[in-house]
Amino acid sequence: MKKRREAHNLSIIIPMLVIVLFLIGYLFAPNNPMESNLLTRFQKPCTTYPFGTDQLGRCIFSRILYGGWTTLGIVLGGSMIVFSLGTIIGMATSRAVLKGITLIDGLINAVTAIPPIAYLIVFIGAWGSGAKTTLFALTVSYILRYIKLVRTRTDMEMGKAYVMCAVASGASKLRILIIHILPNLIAEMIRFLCLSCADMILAITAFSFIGLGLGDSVVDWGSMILDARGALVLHPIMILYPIGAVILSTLCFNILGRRLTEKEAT
Amino acid sequence: MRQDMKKYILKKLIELLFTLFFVTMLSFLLMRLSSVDPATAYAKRMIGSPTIEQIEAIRIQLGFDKPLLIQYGRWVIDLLHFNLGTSLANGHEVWTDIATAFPKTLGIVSLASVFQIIAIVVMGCTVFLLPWKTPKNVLKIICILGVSIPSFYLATVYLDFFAVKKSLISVTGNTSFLSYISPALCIGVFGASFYIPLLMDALEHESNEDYAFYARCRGLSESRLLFFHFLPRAAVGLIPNFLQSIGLALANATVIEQIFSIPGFGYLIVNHVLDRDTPMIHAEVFFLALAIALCNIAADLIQWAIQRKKVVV
Repeated sequence: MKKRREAHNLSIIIPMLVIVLFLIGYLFAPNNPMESNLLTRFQKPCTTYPFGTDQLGRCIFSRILYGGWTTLGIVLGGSMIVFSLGTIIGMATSRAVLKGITLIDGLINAVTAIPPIAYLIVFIGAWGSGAKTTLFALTVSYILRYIKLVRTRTDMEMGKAYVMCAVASGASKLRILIIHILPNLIAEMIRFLCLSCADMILAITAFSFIGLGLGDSVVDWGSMILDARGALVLHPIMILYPIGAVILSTLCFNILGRRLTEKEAT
Repeated sequence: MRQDMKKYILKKLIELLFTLFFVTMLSFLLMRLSSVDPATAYAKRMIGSPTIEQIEAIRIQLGFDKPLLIQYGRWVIDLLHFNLGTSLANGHEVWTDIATAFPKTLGIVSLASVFQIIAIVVMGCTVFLLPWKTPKNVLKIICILGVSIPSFYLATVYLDFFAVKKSLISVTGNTSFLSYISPALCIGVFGASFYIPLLMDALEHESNEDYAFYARCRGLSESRLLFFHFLPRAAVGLIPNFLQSIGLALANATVIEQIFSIPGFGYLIVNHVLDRDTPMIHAEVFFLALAIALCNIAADLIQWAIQRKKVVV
């Protein structure tokens, strides 16, 4: 039993560590990710370039780390906004607070009918591509889904016996929402955020891979994969680094999302 | 009961109108807030280095000088007359371009769904019937990996292997139905690995129910139980969810089409986004939203019907 719990804890700590490393790893990057040097193109991994260099002689290792900062920065920044704003809005518009307004129900249903990736297409369609657009579009589309989740879950919790007890003992609505209901929802919220983080990473890299990326001024994994694909025949190993980073970070979020709720369940 | 059903469908249709209004309005609003002016972009493409007067003339000619609501109103009226205008980039009728591209995407996505269903049912059932625990765990791990691998990477690997190394499929001229198979496979992997664990859990859950115990006491074989009792019940729970994911796959197909260079809907979107071709983008957004929303409504209706039946029984 104890061993099992240790394994369980480990499977939460390791993904978290990996995510944090990808997020702040750029601080320890050995080289400038933008500095191109045509004399050192396609170098094999060595001490100055741990993963070798790409077709413009840029250090792949540093680029991966900076790419992690860009991608995970957008993803985690977005989910922070979603978490803080979405929780407040979701609870404030739940049936417990606003009684009998069916319009909001219909509106939320209508708005969340469209998946986030479609919103991303709409935003990119109108504003062109860029890091800010991507962040904004992802935040907006996920916050809508998140609000829906919080609303329905709050309403479900409201019907439970412990809330009735709290009401009977004279707790105010604000107190019930924050002290009684929020802790019961937090697992579901984190699960949602983790799984949407995984989705967001895939969406961001996919779009920057087909050229609707984050712009030229930032390094990101999708455009690295695109670059590496150009040199695939001669240097097949190059594409594996960014792809590995994408898969690893997505995997971490997926595992985290599943594990954190399992813990609550047992 | 009929009355009930009609009411529900009506409610859903109103929601659909809401959705379409919101999304198209969003697309207009965002276009307005955009830093790139469509009239200027158009003028630059047509004239090269236009003067301010020329840009203004084009703006008036295209109706971009009107207030947003009037532009939107005009667009809606035109839409109701099945007139979506002409593309600013290549002068094609928007309607014909979409009519040729959309069926391709639809074909890919439906083929992908068929693949997914086959994979989900076959894998889920085989693992359920096998007496050991290891295959289950292995399959679960594979599925988590499958959800984490970007489908565009699978597509590139697939292309590089089958088209470049083995020359089994052609990279260009992908218009026949056969060429849908490859992109459909690549899209299907994500969905399949998402739903296999769900089906496994559902089957597991069903096999622990009381009725399953009773059926076993009656001496029914495990495979009979699976196909006649567990699978239908488990599938009923998953079908609405699955339909929604078809809508999602429509949006995901954008990227895959780009890689396989299939002139489908996503291909259209990406090209016109790069051109800032306003009428095209509005129309594409509208149709994408319409298709996804219809999938959702189908899912809702099925779910509603199932819930009703449960209550009645």
